[in-house]
Amino acid sequence: MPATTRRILTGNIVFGLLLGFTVANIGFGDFGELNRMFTFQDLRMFGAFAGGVALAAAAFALLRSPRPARTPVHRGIVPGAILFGTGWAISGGCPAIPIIQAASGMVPALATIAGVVVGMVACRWANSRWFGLDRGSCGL
Amino acid sequence: MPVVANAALLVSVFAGGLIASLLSGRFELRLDMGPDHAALVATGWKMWAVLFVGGVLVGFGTRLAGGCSSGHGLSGCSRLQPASIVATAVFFGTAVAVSFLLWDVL
Repeated sequence: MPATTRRILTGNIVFGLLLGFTVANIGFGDFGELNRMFTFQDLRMFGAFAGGVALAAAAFALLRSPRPARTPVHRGIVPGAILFGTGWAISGGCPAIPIIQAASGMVPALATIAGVVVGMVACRWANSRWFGLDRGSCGL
Repeated sequence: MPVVANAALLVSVFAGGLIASLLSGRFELRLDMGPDHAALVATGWKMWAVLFVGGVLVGFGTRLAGGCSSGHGLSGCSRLQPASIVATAVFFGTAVAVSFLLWDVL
């Protein structure tokens, strides 16, 4: 296996474990916690999110990672974000969260995972026919 | 390789979540999403339908916007990407509005 491939694979395994472990412990997998954040009853989750952004910014700065080209605000951003926000609020899952919910024993999260897969495939199909906007998933 | 790497990431996320829930004693095999979801959204077959539809919206929206709460919210915002800042503001704003609607409508 080439060194670059091995590095990517190792990175995905390490950061996947960290993501699953951290998100589960913060409480992002708990629908009640999310709902209390979105309705401003408990701002701890907003704090955790802001902390995550600050940590990522610090990590990029420490690694002297070159700044990527500015991503244009294309016409899929706003409608896509509206759909995503709606789905997040009613299911309690952004794409990775249902995996963590299933890992904590919540069997119905499998329905969310199935929906995410169907939604992504449907968007790829619709995009190739009509939108011409597909920028991948989380692919900055 | 991308398929293997992506699969490894998904399996690792699952394993990380499983380890966390086992170590904290929160692991519990259950057929619901907790009391808050049952009270605010749905129970029984309606819950399964809502979760599936919610998942479709998340998957479609993520693909259309080019990122989610991790891609746009964490990575993009930390690099001050204008598209990510707009996307994050809109999906958080929408989730806030829909969450308040859950209280008022359901």
